Amino acid sequence: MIHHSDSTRTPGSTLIRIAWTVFAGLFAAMLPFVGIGCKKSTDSDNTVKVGILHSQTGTMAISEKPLIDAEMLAIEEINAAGGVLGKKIVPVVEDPESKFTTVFPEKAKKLLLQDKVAVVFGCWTSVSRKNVLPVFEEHNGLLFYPVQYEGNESSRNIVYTGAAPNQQIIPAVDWLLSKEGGSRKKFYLLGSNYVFPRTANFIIRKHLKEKGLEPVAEEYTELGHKEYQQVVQNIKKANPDVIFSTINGDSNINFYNELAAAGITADKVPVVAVSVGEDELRGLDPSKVKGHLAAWNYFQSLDTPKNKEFVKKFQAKYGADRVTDDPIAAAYAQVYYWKIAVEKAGAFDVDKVRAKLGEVEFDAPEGRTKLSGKNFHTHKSFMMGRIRDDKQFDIVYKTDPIEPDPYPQIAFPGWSCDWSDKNKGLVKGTPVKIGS
Amino acid sequence: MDSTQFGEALSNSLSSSSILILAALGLAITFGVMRVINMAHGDMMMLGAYTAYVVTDRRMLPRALNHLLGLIGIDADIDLNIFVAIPASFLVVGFVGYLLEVCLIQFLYDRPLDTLLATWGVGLIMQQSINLTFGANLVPMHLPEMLQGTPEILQGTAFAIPSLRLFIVGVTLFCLFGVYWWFFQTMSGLKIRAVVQNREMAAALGVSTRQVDSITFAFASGLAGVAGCILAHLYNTKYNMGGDYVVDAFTVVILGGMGQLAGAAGGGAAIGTGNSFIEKLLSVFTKMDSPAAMAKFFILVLVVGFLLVRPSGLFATKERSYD
Repeated sequence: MIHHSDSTRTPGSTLIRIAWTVFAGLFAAMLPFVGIGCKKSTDSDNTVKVGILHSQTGTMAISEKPLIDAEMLAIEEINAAGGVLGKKIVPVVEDPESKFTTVFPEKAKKLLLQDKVAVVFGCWTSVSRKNVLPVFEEHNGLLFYPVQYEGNESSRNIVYTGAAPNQQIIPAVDWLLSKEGGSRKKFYLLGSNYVFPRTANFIIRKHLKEKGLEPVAEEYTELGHKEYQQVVQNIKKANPDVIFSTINGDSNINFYNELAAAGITADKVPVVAVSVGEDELRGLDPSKVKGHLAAWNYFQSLDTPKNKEFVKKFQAKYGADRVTDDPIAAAYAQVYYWKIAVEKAGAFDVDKVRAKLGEVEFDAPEGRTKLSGKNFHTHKSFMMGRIRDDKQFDIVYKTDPIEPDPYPQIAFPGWSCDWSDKNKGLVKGTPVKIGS
Repeated sequence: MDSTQFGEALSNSLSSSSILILAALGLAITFGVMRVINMAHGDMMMLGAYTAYVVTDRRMLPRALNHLLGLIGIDADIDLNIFVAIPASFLVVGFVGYLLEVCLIQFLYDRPLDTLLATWGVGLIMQQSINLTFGANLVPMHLPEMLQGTPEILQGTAFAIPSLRLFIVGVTLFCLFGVYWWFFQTMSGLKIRAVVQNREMAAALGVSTRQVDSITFAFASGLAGVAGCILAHLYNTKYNMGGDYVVDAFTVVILGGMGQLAGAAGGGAAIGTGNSFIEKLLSVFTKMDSPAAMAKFFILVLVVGFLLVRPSGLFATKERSYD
């Protein structure tokens, strides 16, 4: 606008310029009030606010944005069906910018104190969850967290709707050891260098030890690592019969490319990944990954009416080229878990909702799920998928629902958690040191 | 360290060095020779990568071409691959570089520090344009059959370098010799060197400095495009991939020595070889569980130490006319 007045070469141009500046200044000054005005207008008695806390910018945006889509889809459906306790859900979407230690806790605080949301659906990385945890505990908020994780954590203020280690990592190892999974003995543990892969490998090491086995190697690369020549040479030398991969993010593509170029194929040495789903496969040439395995609790190809309906609705809303995967399905289901708990409690109050979490059961896309009233994790079936030509998975193995346990005793002796019993709560066992 | 491991370290060095040199070559001209602190170098590589995607992906350009040919009655099945994508990336990114030079850089030659901020901004614009057009997801690249896997005669040996990496070594050598020939064997190369050494004097002698600047910048951008096109096939393609390369490229150019083309080659070879050997040694002789990260740490310590002792880099320019 100011620029526009510059080109006005009339005698009164200075005046006009001042007028424009004042106008622009006033307009800019009004913007925040306009924003608040909008919020106020929705803040009536017929609505309930919920927070959504997934990164829309930064490195994790690519993974976290689809979770927002899934949660918005569920909210839309619930509102169309009459809302929760007769109130329409109004989502307050904040962008924590993939800044796990700074913006995540800040925005969590803002949602709880300023917006006074009834619940927050959010986070992906363990480091972001660990950073918002004290905020939720201090202000007695409720966070639903939809991603599989490493366990070794429990909070009365977090509901874990992704897999605990005994629902993903341990059954995956057990299947690989079984005859059906190829009776594999030589595990090569390869991961990204941060808390999830290190804790996961710690658990695997302990679990293998119990069976009298030891991994042939344990190696880490930084997040975003590109050059996998040396790693592949190390793998060749160690000659494993399976590679257990906890590599996260884009590095997976570099790793699979290098593996394929070196001629290590899935029929010789399969890679079992715990962080590669349908969404991650979109950036890969299928010939490079065909036949490799992934361990999850949901696959888009799951052949149930409920899942087909979910995939159809998701693609109808967001485009036919979109895929669903485990965290997306969990993000969708967790909005319903909260709705069911609220309806059982008959109130939005966090303490009342928490008391009813153990009664939540739901027909989720992944199957019939229920929440554990003890540790606020989710009962889930384990599934092993094999990558097909069309970047979807053939489900080669599926268990009945497994009761969640954030503290597998082989790795965390003496630790347990039972929030349903006032006298128990979190019981601390032997201190555990993870990492080299 | 036995002979196999030594051979592997050597072949890793060859591959890593060629990748670094290829990624840094365009910057060696824009930053090393023209003194433009080109923060958009990595994003130009990204544009090259996306050009390759548009050219090679069956759903993009080939489909459009087939459709057009279908309209005039020719039933075509055109399938374009990396060999078409390389010149396409060179031309497209070269043209973008030309526009950038004409519209922006030419006003900043006597303000080198301002080029940093300006090109960084341009880089952000490029990233977000691509993000808006193609989305934030990684895009898949397809390699032609002949560049997949490892050549049969090398399989099982210590020098089992995958075909694509051998191809990259070839392209890097080709680009290096091409640039060398252009700079030192042709009239326009002579003009570039004249303009770089003394702009006013060159202009007084009748060299069109404007033309020389534009063409040099465009050519260097084209080289960044080629690097992006090829490395996208080796690693991955995303809108913010530039950031993965730009730091490495600057390190190579600064270590090699400003204003020297041999510097880019020397710097890339030094870092690539050093990194590969340190990583191999750490893998073989220590129980360290993240040798790749440690190797990178050691090589950066060495580079910093070297630059403390010899700030002008491996190949110092001897002219006094600079600065």
